[in-house]
Amino acid sequence: MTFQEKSALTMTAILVVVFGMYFALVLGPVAGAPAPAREFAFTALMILASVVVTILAAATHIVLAIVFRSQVNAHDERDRLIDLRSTRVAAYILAAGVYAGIGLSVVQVERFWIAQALIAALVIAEITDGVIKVVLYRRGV
Amino acid sequence: MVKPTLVTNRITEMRTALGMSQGELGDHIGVTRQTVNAIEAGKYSPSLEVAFKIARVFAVPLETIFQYPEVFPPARPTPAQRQRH
Repeated sequence: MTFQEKSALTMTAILVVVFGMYFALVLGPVAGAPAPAREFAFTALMILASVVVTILAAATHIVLAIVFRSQVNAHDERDRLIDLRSTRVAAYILAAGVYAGIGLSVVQVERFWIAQALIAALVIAEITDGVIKVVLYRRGV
Repeated sequence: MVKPTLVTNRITEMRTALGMSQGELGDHIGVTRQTVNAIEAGKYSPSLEVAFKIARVFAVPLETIFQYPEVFPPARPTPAQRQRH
C-alpha cells in the first residue's frame, strides 16, 4: 500500500466519523431547536468538527510519516493519475452541491439549510475523492 | 471484473531472471515498488517513457516486454498496410 493510499484511507475514515457525528447532531436535535439557538449550535459544531478533522489529520499523518518514513516522498506517475481521476469526480460533486446551495438560496430556504447543503457537498466530495483513490489503487487504473 | 488494461507484460519473468526485486526495478525507472507491482499485475499501464525505461533496464526492445492483443482489427487499411500495396 502506498503512502498516498494510506493517507486517502485515513482521511476518508476521519471525515466519515467526524462529519457523521456532526450531521447526526445537526440534522437531529439541532435542527429542531429554535432559530437563534440553532444558528449558534450549528456554527459551534461546524467549527469544532473542522478543528477536530484538522488535528486528527495532522496527528495521523505524522504517525504515518514516522512509521512509513521511506514511503513519504515516494510519488510517481500512477499516484498523479489516480489523484487526477479522483479529484475530477470530486469536483463535479462539489459543483453540484454549490448549485444546490444557490438553488436553495434562490427559493429563499433558511440559511441553516443552505449551510448544511454546502457542508454536505464539501464532505461528500472529499469522501468520494478518498474512496475513488482507494478503489483505483486496489482495482487498477 | 474487466481488467483496467489489455496490455500484458513479461516483467516478472525478466526481473526474476536477473534476480532483481520490484523495489530495485522501481528505483531504476523512477517509480515506487507498488507501481511496479501494479504494472506486473496488469492493473496499471505505464507511460511510454516508463515503458522505454523498463526496456532499457532489460536491454531488449519494447515489444519483447509488452504485448497488446489483436482484438481491434482496423476497419480500414492502416497507412502502413496501404503503403505495402
